[in-house]
Amino acid sequence: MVTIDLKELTKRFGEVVACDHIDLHINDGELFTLLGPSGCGKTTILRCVAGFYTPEEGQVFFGETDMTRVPPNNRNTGMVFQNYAIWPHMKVFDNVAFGLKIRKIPKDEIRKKVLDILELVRLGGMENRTPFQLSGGQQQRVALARALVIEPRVLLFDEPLSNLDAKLRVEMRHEIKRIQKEFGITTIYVTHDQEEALSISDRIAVMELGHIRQVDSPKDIYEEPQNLFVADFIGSCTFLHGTITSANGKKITIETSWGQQLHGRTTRNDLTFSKGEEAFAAIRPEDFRVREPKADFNKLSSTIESLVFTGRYYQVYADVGGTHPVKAELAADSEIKVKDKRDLFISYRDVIILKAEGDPFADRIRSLLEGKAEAD
Amino acid sequence: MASILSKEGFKLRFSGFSNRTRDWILSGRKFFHFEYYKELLHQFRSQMGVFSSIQLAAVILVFIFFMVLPLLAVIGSAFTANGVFSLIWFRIIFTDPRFWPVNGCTGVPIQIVGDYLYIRGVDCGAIINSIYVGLSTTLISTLIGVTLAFFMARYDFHGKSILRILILVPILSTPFVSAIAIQKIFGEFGMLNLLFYDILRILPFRVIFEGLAAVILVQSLHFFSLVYLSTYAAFLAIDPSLEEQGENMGAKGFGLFRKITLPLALPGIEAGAILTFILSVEDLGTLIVFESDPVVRRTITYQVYSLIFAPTGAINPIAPALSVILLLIAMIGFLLIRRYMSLRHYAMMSKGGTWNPRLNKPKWWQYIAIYGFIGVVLFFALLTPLGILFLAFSTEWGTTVIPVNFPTVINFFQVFTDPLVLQSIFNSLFYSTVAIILIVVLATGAAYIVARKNLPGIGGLDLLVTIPIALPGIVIAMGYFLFFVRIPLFASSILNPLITAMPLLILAFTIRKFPFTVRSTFAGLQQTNVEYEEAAENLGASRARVFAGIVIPLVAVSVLSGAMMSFVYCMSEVSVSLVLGGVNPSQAPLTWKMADILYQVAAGSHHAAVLGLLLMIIQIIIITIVNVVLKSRTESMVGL
Ligand SMILES: Nc1ncnc2c1ncn2[C@@H]1O[C@H](COP(=O)(O)OP(=O)(O)OP(=O)(O)O)[C@@H](O)[C@H]1O
Ligand SMILES: [Mg+2]
Repeated sequence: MVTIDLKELTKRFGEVVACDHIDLHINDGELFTLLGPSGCGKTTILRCVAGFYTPEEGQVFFGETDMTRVPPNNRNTGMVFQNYAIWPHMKVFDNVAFGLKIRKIPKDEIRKKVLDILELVRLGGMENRTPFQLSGGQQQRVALARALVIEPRVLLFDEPLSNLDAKLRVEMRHEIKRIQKEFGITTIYVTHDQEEALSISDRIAVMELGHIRQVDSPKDIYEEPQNLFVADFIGSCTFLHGTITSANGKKITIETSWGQQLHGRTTRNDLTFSKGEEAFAAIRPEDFRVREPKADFNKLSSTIESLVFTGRYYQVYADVGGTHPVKAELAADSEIKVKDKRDLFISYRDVIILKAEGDPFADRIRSLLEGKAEAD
Repeated sequence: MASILSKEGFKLRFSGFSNRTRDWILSGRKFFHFEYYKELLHQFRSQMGVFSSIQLAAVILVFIFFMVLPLLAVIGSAFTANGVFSLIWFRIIFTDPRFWPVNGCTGVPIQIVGDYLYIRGVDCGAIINSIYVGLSTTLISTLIGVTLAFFMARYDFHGKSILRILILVPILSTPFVSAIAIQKIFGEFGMLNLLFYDILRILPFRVIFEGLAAVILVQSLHFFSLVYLSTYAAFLAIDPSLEEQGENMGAKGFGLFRKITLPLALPGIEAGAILTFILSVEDLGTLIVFESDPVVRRTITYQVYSLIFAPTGAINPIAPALSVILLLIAMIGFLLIRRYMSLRHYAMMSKGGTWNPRLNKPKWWQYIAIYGFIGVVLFFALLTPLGILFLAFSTEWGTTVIPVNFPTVINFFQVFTDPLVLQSIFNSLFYSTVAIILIVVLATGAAYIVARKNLPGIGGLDLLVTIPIALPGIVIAMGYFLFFVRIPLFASSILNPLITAMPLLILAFTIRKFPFTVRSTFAGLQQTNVEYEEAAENLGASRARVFAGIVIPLVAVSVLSGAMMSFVYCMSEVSVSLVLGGVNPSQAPLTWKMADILYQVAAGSHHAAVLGLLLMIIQIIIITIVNVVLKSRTESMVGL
């Protein structure tokens, strides 16, 4: 199969830089996801790879071959569109057979391949239907079959599941992963749904404003966010603002404005942290505890402000240090009431300390925190 | 919300392009840089396949040679005398009372003599005459058309579905004969005077329309349907929540209409009205029917027509200057509706009609108003086809309500056994068919390029293919004489109309009726997702294959309905047909033969009516197919 390399890829629309000097290496057979909020440039990158956009700068390589100026119809990629783009004037069979006909494959061979692939995507026996007679999920499968049947070098998905209902979305997710692994085709998958990205991908690139902020495995993206944007975008971290009081290898301690000491760790080996430096502590809601752990924990005194029971846990907003609301998910068996004064515990490894300096997202977090403080 | 969303979508899609263009325009120096042309070439290459390039080249070539250059030839000869720049022809025009009211206007517009009421209009020279005829026709058509559209779009009443079809009848285009029918019906002892003066005694006078007033009457009874269609579409496109919001804030009834609905629909109304103005000014058929009146002959269009002597190609030197004035009037109108006429404007409008329009049940007094108004309008509008029927099935219709020997089919025998008539019918069918093939091939390409490609200069292409609807046919005809007869390169070729009229007639039809198809196709493309095409390209299809295998099938219905309307209007084309047809009668199209019959044969109007009826039947069949079978939109009907 093939690896994909993007080198300094830049695409502008007038003033907007939709993707800005993107460097990426995608491994052979990998399911690689571009994840990020709306408008961050995911589609733009995908369309540069497919050949629908020509970048202003930079190159796209498939293996050793420079594809930057190769027209889309000569790239041998299979793309699955957000709204499927199943041609309404053709039957399911003809939709799937289209790419094979163009490749001038003998008729009986086309027939066999199409029927096989329809079987694979669980549409066996539907080849004579028109697109209007298909449900959204079935149309999605036709689009997938149509892209797969030509045995493309690269598979491209642009939010393929966003038009499906929640249940079908989860089902198709597994389907796509199963088929991708079966064929071993190098795949780029675009989504803004982090759960989808985390569950389907081999690796994920988290994007913001035309830049890639982190490339890692789903587990590392979740557990080892490298910067404020990723910490904020993945999961829904509470940020606490402070100053570093000690930094010892990976262990770092900050002090908040109300004098709370927070011990935590860094996810960055490449940076040095120094005393007195501004930093943020990022804590995920599910990492707060009401019971005291055995060792290595922070203790935060808090007042419970609001409380919603969701079944598995209480969704809690608690105030720490007077004006700082934190979001926590607390075990459903704990007895909590609004206005309770409770100590919340977080183990050291669940507090991630991130530098403010040099992080383009720091201003955003600062103003977010100030806004919250004021809103109280 | 939806309309705003689609507007945003529009901006998004084109913002990159327009910014870049703006940058380019700002930096005028770019033209001296090699890089600019390299970038241009690259953009062109990356977007246009061989196939699209050929289509584009063909469209540009056809329009340059058969529209732009002939028009330039007209303008050129208007401003030269003996080969040097001169304003002499304009000086002559503006000092001649036939063209310009040097001595003021003459004539009594309305006069009562005994028990006769004459409605005539005044004579202010050809230029002012044409303008005021155009303005009056526009005013009357707009008042009728807008009121009608309002009733039809906002009220739900019994018989509406039938009325909606009947209202389409006046859009049928039967040059000459509709004017003759009205002339007869409104005549001194015509049907109306007999009914309302002699028999019922409702009118205190015998009412007689003469001269330019008669022209205005004939045109208004035809063109109100055009304003109606474009206004109706505009009313339907209004987001009902906007009206509801107005209601929430306390606006009601007529106030709501005036403050909310009317302003929202105004662009559509304006477009219909201005198009009416342009078409009224360039209308030649009606003037020819009333040409025995000297004031009718004093209109720009008629003057230009009469100053071309087709058989030899001789053109009176002031004719080009008059043409330029006619062109100027039409172009001012066109510029005023340019936004509405441009293809790209559709991106903003096309998503308009997805909601259910608001329909009210009228109260009893509104019922009376609605039925009363529609009744009167329909009565007058249906008089035209009725008159044509009477004429076609009779040999004499002078002083009775119903023609004396009605019904007889003798005219049909006489007309359809005349080999020259049959030849002209065949000619028209042949020219129109070839023109439609050319139109479909070129218009699909042009619409596709404007809809899908982001290249600098696309706006120019858009302009080129939409402008013909506003170009007076007589000016194009004159341009052909000036360009293809006088330029030595063409003078000995088959493009010289004095040698053979056929190629130029076909190309004139192609150009003049191009907008109907190109707009309909464009609207179809606008409603078709680009991703269908990208998916095919992604699977390896070449651009030509994407176009033929995906684009064309997806917009086939739009292309077809546009093409059918183009065909209808080719069959009833007047100006160029009359001028070019006069060179060689055996090559003349149907409309030329109709005019010829009017002049030559004693029972001329009855024979012409037979041909008018034929045109009507063809049109009814095609419009029915377009409306019912293809569920088409107004853009192909109106060309707006
Ligand atoms: N054709 C275009 N013309 C102008 N600007 C564009 C165009 N396509 C994208 N952009 C701009 O480029 C930026 C990136 O767009 P892109 O479509 O890649 O975002 P995305 O990450 O796919 O977002 P979404 O999740 O909403 O699909 C946006 O600011 C967008 O407005
Ligand atoms: Mg996108």
